[in-house]
This record gives sequence, structure tokens and C-alpha cells, in this order.
Amino acid sequence: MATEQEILSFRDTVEKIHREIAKEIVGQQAVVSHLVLAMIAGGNVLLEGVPGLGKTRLVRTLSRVFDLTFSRIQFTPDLMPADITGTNIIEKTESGNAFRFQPGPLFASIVLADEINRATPKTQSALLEAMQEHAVTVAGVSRPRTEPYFVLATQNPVEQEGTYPLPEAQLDRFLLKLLVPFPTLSELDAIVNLTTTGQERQAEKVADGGDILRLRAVSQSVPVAQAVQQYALRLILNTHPEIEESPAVSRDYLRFGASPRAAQALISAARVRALSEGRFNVAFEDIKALAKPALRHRIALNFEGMAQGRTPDDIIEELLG
Amino acid sequence: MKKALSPIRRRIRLQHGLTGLCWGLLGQTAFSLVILILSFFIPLEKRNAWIIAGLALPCMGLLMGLLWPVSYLQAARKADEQGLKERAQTAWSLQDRQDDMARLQREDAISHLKTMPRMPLRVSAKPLIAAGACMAAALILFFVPNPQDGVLRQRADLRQKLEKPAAALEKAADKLEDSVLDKKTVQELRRLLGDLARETRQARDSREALTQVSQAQQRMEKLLGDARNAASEALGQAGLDALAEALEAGDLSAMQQALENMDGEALSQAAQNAASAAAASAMQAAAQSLASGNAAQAAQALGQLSAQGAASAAMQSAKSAALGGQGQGKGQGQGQGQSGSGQGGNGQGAGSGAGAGSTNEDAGAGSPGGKQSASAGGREGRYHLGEYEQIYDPTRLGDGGEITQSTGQVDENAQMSELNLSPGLGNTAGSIPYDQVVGEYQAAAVQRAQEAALPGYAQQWVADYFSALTE
Repeated sequence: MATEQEILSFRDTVEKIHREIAKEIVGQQAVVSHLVLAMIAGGNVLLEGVPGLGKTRLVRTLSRVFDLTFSRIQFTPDLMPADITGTNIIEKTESGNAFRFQPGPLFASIVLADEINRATPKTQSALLEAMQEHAVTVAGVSRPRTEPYFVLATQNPVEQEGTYPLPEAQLDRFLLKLLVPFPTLSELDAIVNLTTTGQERQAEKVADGGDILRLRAVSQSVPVAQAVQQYALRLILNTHPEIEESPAVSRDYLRFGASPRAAQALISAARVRALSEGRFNVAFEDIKALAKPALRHRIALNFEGMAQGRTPDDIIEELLG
Repeated sequence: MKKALSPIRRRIRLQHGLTGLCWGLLGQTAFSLVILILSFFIPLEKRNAWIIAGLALPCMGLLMGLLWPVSYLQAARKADEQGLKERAQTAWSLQDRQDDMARLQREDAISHLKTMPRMPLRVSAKPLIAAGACMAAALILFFVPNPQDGVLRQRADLRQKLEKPAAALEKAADKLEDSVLDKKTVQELRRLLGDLARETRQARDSREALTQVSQAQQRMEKLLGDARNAASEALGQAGLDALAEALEAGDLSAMQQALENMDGEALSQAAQNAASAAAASAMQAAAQSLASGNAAQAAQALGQLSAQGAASAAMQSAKSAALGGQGQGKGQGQGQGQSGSGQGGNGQGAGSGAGAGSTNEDAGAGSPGGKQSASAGGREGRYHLGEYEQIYDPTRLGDGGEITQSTGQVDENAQMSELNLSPGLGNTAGSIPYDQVVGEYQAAAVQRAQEAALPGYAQQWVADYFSALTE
């Protein structure tokens, strides 16, 4: 059970993290906030945005703030699973030749899978186990990852030719999907000033992996009122077009709805958000704020929805209404 | 938490009360409007009382709202709606938890509850607007002339007119205490008169009142008729034919005459053979009076089998009042044993008719102004005061007045007996003083007019016609 001190220090710690990240990252408040939230909640994040928005920089900053190992994987169509999981190599030893496992980039604490949709499904699936089980199996040997383990994948919404859209099963393993917006004029101004004048500041460590785990444990003790939980669950159910009681917007525009994993994601993330805001309980407001990041990648539009130019966010907005 | 939530609960109750009051107001105005609309089609006597009674609805609404149970969870939810972000209901659900998180959450919730601004009270606009509309409509209707007001006035007038006769009926019922009839008959008569008094007071129109009186008269006549027949039979069997005839004729003086020549013992013996308790009782009383040498009192005792003077007079008064108050005095006063008042055999409006109490023997009795006959009031004609025209008496309405024969039973000797029934009142020529039957005519005509569902004015014509005959 979380102690009073841990609970009371939660918000301060999170604010400290944000302040430190803000030294290197200009703007993107919502993205940063959700990323930190997802890390504390123990989930993975899918970032979608055009190139050059600082996604890699952000993840690198995170690794510095938390003093965690970081690896970046640039997914390409020719990337093989062994390239990311690691492989056994033959090594000459004193007693002869022996196999030694050479760990791949998946063995860092924070993994950035850049343009994940450019890799083949086979390579994508190699990431699946790491994301879900926090373990990597190579040649039959499962190697668990040390906690905390965080996979941040990115997608480019512009270049869709020659890409392999992530399967629903893999998408479902991301706690949140965040849309990285283009910076505003003032933010661009700040970015340019920060990065082209040699005055870049570097974020420093404010917490470590153990702190993240402690924060996670504290967040898990945040209570959720029955009405709030029912609201979240009802929201999930309403995304299913096959359910008769679901609203017309789901039945008209969705092909399938969110899984129970979405409910878990929503509640876990809401707990962290509540505590980050200095509250000791989850509110409807938390569910509403996290509905889009938690659900937009778990629901699929049908032809009617696509033809009418609807987006998952539109549907979720109507469901929340 | 309970302490922190109590003010919220009180506020919610107050809100419920306010909402209940608003809806109650709508209920009351709508109810009043419905009553007013109904009053245009149905004569509602206590219309204003109903409208005032509708004021109970807002009071009930307010009371129900204030007393409606409000749980702490409801109060917590309501508090959360004011911006507490589900702190209150979460804290309420965590009451049993004592870990640090639950305690911190509870403290946080309580501190927010304490500093929370007072919940605003909202007045429900919809019911108030609707109530306003109903009230406006009701006010308009209030000033529109109500066609039923005339009906209500008529009813009130009628009731006013019937009040005196109703009181007279009750008085007559009380007087029955001194009657010589048996207890059961007295009770029945008292109940009959009491019911009639109550019914006439509640009569909605003349027709109803007349029907009630006619029915009561018939019932009384049936009651007394049975007793009278039993007494007549017993007297006949005892060889007291003269007395039996006089009793059947309702002739008090003839009865007295017959009694004067009689032995009380014979009468007492005859009483024992009477089939009816009322007859036996009256005959015994007559026998006792005769034994003490008072033939008149004995006649009076027997005469009670013919008619109940006060009761008949009160009934007639009620009838007259129902007919418009005309001929009030004609049926009043003595009627006991007088001709035309509840005579046996005809059953038509017993005791009714302007002839009651106004016979040859009792000219002018109970009739103000002494207008008894057709020759009164200055009318020129062959007849003088106290003399009456002969008019045709149909005897039994509908059968032409012929002598009717009834075939008797075949006895053991295979003999068949025939019985000539009386042609009724009057002689075989079919003539009888009209004043003895005009009451029957009147009652029959009025009753028939009612049964035929004639319009009110037509029924009044019928009543006026007969009333004019008796002037």
C-alpha cells in the first residue's frame, strides 16, 4: 500500500519531470504529459506525426530524465526480426567456439521504434512480445526485460505507400496513441532559438526506474468510484456496433470496437492523471480527457465512415457527448 | 462524511420541496380549470369548494418534496455535480477503508465539501408556465356566464322550498312514536319518512323530488294497505262488517258510529285474529279505547290504518313544493281518514291530490283562502261552496272503468266462485266528485309526464293545469 508521503510526493515528482523535459522540448505539452502518464501507467505509446516534430528528441530526453537506457530502431522494409531482438553469434572462446547472445536494440529500457509501419509484419510481430510480455524470445530462450520497459513507436501519416499498417492486435497493445501536432508560430520560434544558437539545454536526471515503479504502484491505489468506472466501461461498450444498445454513430460508422484492454488502459491512465492533478480519485473528467488517446487506435471505421470523411476522434467525441 | 454531506441533503430536500410546490401549483390550476370547464356542462354545486380543495395539491407537493428520502450517496453525487470531480461519491464509497490513500481522499473530499458554495435552488419553469396558462384560462372562464348557474339556482330554490316539507316529514316521523301501530310497522314508517326527508333535501330537480315522494307514498300505502286489509278481514270474520266497511272507506265518522254500537270485547277478539301485527295493534288500541268508552279515540286508533295524517300531509306538501310551490295549503292539515287521501285500492299517490283535507265535511281546512272547489274564487256556476261537479272516474286507469270480474279457485266441491270486484270509487255510473280523484289524476299525469321525458316546461304545464283545477 502506498504511504502518505509517496502519495503526496507524486504530483511534485511528476511536475519535476515535466519541468525537466521542458528544458529540451518546446511545446507539445499534451504529448509530453500523456507520454509521462503512459510510462508511469506501464504502457506503450504510438506517436503519429509528420517528420521533424521532435519525436526522437522527446524519447531521448525521457531516457535522460529517467536515466534509462535508450535505443532507437529505424524500421525499414528490409529490417529483420533478428535485427531488433538480437541473435546468437559464434564466438571464439578459450575452450573453443560457443554461441553468445548479442542483444538487439529491444533490450534497452526505452525503445523508440521509428516508422514502425514501414517494417514487415514479421518484424513488427517481433516487437509484439516485447511490448506485451516485456520479454524477448530468441532461439527458444525467453529473456525478460527489466522494468520499467517502455516502447514508443512512431508513424508517419503522410508516406503511406509501401507501408504495412499495424495489425489490430498490435495496435491494441499500445496504451495510448498520440497525435503530435505541428508547432505553433511561437513554438517554432522558440525551437529555432533553442536549437540553432548553440544554447540547447540538456535535461538531467530527476528520477530513475525505481521511481517510476514506485509512482506506478502509488497510482494503482487511486480509488475509482463505481459511477466513474461504469461510465468508462459503458464508453467501451458503446464503440461496438454489434451491440444493439450502442449509439447510432457506432452502428453506422464503425467496423469494430475497443477491446477490454482499452478499459484497462483507460482506467490505469486515468488513475495516473488524477494523481498528477493533485486529486486522490478518478473523475469523469479524467476518462473524458483520455478517451481519445486510449481509443482512437482501437476502433476501426467502416466504409461508410471513411466515405463520409469521419475520423475515430469524431466518433469518440460523439460518444462522449 | 455524513456530517459534511448533511447540508447538501437538506439543500436537496429543499429543492425537491420547491419542485413539488411548482408541480403542485400546476396540478391545482389544472384541476381548477377542469372543474370550471366541467361546471359548464354539469351543474356542480360545490364548485368553489372543489377549487379551494385543490389548494391541497401544492401543499402536498411541497410536503412530499421535503419528506422525500435523500440518501447520502445522492447528496454526494449532487455535490460532485457542483465541481467536486467525484470526490464526494468516491469518499462515500471508501468509508470503510482506512489506508492512507482512502484517508487522504476522504480528507480532500471533506475539505472541498466544506468550502463548496451553496447549491443554488432552481425553480422549475415548465410547470410554472403551464400553471400560469391554466390560471389565465380559469380566470377567463370565471367571468364567462355559466349556463349551469341557472340550473344550480333552480336547485337551490327547490331545496329551499323542500326544506319545510322535509322538516315536516321528520316531524311526522317523530310523531309516529305515539302511534298505536306495532313497533315494526312504526320503524318502517319512520325509516320511510326519514329517507324521504333526506332524499327530498338532496333532490336535484322537481322530477326527482316528485318521483321520490310518489314512491314513498306508494310504499306507505302498500304498508298500510296490507294492514288495513288484514284488519278489514278480521273484522269481517268477527261479523263487524259495518266497521270493516267504514275502515275500508277510510270514513272516520262511520267508524266512530260503528264503534259506538260495539262491544270492545268483540273488537279485541277480532284483533287476535288479525293477520297483520299492525292491524292487531291498532285494533287492540281501539278496543281499549272503546272499553274506556271513548269511541272517537277508538276510531282514531283504527283510522291510523287508513292514513298517517301528518305524514301524508308532509308528503303532499313536498309534492306541491316540487311542483312549484303552488297549491301548498291544499294537501295539508287533516287528511287522516279523509277521502281522497290514501284510500285503499288505488295506490295512486296516496294522500296526494288537492282533495286531501278539503272535503265536503272539511271545507277549507288546511287551505288558505278557502279556495276549495271549482266554484270558489268567484267562478260562476251551478255549484256552491262545498258542492262539486261530478266527473268521470276511470277507476283503474287504463281499463275503461268497467266492473271487473276475477275468477276464483275451484274448491273441493268443484264449485267455482266468482267475485265481483268493486268498480272503485263512485257509483256504477262512473261519476265521482272530481276533487276526490283530481289528486290521483295529477299524480298520474305528473308521473307520466316524467316517464315520457317531456321537456321541463311541458311538465310544468301539466303541473300548472292540475294546480289550476284545484284553485
